[in-house]
Amino acid sequence: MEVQNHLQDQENINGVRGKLNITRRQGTALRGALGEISTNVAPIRDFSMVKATAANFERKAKCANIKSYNHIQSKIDTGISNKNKVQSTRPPLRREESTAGLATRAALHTQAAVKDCKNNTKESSNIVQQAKKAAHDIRKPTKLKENVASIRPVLKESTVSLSKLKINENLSVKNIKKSDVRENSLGRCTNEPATPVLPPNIEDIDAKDHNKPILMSTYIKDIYRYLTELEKKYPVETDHLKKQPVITGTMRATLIDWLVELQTQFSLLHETWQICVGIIDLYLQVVNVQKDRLQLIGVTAMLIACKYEEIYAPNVDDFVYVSDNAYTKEDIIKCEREMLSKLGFHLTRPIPISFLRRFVKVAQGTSKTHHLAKYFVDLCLVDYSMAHYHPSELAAAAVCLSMHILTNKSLEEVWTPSLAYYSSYELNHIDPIIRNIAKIVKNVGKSKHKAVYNKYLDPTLAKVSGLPQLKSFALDKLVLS
Amino acid sequence: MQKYEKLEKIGEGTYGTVFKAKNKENHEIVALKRVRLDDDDEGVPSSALREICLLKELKHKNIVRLYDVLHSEKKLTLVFEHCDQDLKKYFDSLNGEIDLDVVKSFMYQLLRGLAFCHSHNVLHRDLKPQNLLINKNGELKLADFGLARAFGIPVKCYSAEVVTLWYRPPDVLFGAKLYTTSIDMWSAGCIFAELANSGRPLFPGSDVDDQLKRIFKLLGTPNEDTWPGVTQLPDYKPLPIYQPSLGLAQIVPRLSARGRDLLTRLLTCNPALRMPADDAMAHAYFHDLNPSVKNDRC
Repeated sequence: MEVQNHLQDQENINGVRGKLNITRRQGTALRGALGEISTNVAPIRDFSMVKATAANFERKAKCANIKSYNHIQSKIDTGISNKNKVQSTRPPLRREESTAGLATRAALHTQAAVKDCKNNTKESSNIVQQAKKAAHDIRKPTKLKENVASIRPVLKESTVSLSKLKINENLSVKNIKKSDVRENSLGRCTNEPATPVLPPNIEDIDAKDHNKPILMSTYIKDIYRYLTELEKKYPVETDHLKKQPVITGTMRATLIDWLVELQTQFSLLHETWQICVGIIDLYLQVVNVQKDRLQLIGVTAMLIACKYEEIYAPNVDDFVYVSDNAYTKEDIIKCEREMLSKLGFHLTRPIPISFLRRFVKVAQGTSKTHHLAKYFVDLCLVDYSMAHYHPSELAAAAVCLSMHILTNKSLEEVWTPSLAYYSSYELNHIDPIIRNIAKIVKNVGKSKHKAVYNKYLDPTLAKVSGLPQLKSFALDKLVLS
Repeated sequence: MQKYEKLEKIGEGTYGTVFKAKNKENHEIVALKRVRLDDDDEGVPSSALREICLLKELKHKNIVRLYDVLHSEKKLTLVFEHCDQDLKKYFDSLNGEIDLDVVKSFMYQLLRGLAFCHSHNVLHRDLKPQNLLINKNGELKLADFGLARAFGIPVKCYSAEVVTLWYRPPDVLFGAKLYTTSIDMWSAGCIFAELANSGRPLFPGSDVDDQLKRIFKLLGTPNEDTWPGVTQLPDYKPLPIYQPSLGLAQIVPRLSARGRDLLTRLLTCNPALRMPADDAMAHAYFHDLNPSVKNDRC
């Protein structure tokens, strides 16, 4: 124990300082966006419960110099005063920091990443400037009050634009990406991993990764085998809400759609949201829930997912706030206890994104392939009719469809023996899933759940949800045939 | 809590007090790790949440078994299998030097537990003698997963504030946030040397600088040739240039040449060149390992 006291050292302080710079800019930019933009998100939502105000992001500005925003802090208690303490002491030992999108990038071409960086820097500096100007005008954060139970869409004033938010997410991505790229080239691995037994026509896609420690070539095959076992161990059944007296698939979709916005607005990792969806489904599968508790289940699942995955989890108070005080802190903590106990603390269920990265690599896809497939998977997670598929099935179908649309190759051409081998699915297995995804994508305009669509309109996600190919004949053909 | 009768306090874990207790129903001796949940807290601490979630899936002979979780309003109690002592206490109880066969057996079991964690996408991130439990049968088990976490592939940046100073690898000492299973392998190397020296810590640094100097005095100060990218690490600072001392024979005099070779491969500053656990298990040092240890799978 006494050894740990020595932890207060230079690199830790620097680590925190680096983080501060990011968050400070983030906070400012968001407030700016808030001042300027009032209706970007609102019209496209039928209802939601997001109170996406600058206050949520004050939380992120943990240790930053926030003196000038006192007026905002006093309006909404987000525990900022507590946060200031972090400045003088080091954060708790096991807190970790959020690196949204980093992992994704690491798998992609370094060149593309570097290009992204440049763009982001330009965009973000503009935003910071705008934000500075706008920050003066803000007296208090605008609120978007809604409640899932009573469905009262009050959209007088609005929330931060999704696109602005994402640019801020990028700030952190960018900052960390540098070290990522750097460490990629750290050195060569002399250790030969045990040669896996592959069929003669299948290429060992990990063979060239010995010099990239972050790709874990030593253990990657074991790990994926294990993840496949795990997803079978914790399945979501077909029509898993059938025993629910009140909760419907549409209500579930509304909840998960809202959580997409929450993820963006709290700058949480994509992984965290996917874990959260898994927790919600496994819970709703076994516990009957009243309508007025559904949102509570949602925020609590997100809290649990954050504690599991994020380096810095938001406070419970933040979740109280985003639910428009519909629940108290005690409600959430009690709900957390109930959920963990019902789930038996089994949260290690794999998520689609873990498989998706692997399959995109096998398919030798581009970053666009990756984003488009991610978009498909996220749409599936919102859609009740897709909830029962294994994460690896969704990932396989999404990657196949993404390649099909972007390369104009037939499904048969896209789904090479390598993809079939590494995913363990033949094309005929994922074919119906692909057609379902095509249907969902085609109907996205008519759906009232738009958070995923809007999220993927962002340039950092290659604006994949707005791709003209998604309105093309290729997709129609899949839907009709 | 009626089910268990508390016997005595064993110690403090990363985030809770540990008691020895007896299951009143079957008289089995267990270890209870108690975490207080205060009203103004944030619910279940993330360290406890992770430890429980990860240990629920990690079932292996060389990993401490989590039997049960009792979750009430005021406290969270983790019920673990009980082991007689941890490796630190084992060292303290030694009369004279440790048996070299025991060193080999413990080291092999440590590596086997680690290989299991790593192939199940879990990093331990706090390996040290206090967190390795030993039972009467000479079995060694990894414990205290309060700092552990699941990792994705590609690995993302995680906290640099992990691993107790003496067992922390040079890349993390330089502030690296992007690390992999190699983080645990350095600690394993330090523990290997400590085992061979009957419990004398290898690098008992007083702060980060002192820690780095102690490491580099033995292994030589790394540079861009021996470790490409080292100077780019977030908290890299130039330190005195030490030449690698070839004094491993003096540092771990009782260890065989093969043992020293394995130690060198684990104590490699460049994390990309550090030997993974499953390769280490196949190292020649273990060729004459007692077969009963080797075949003793989960």
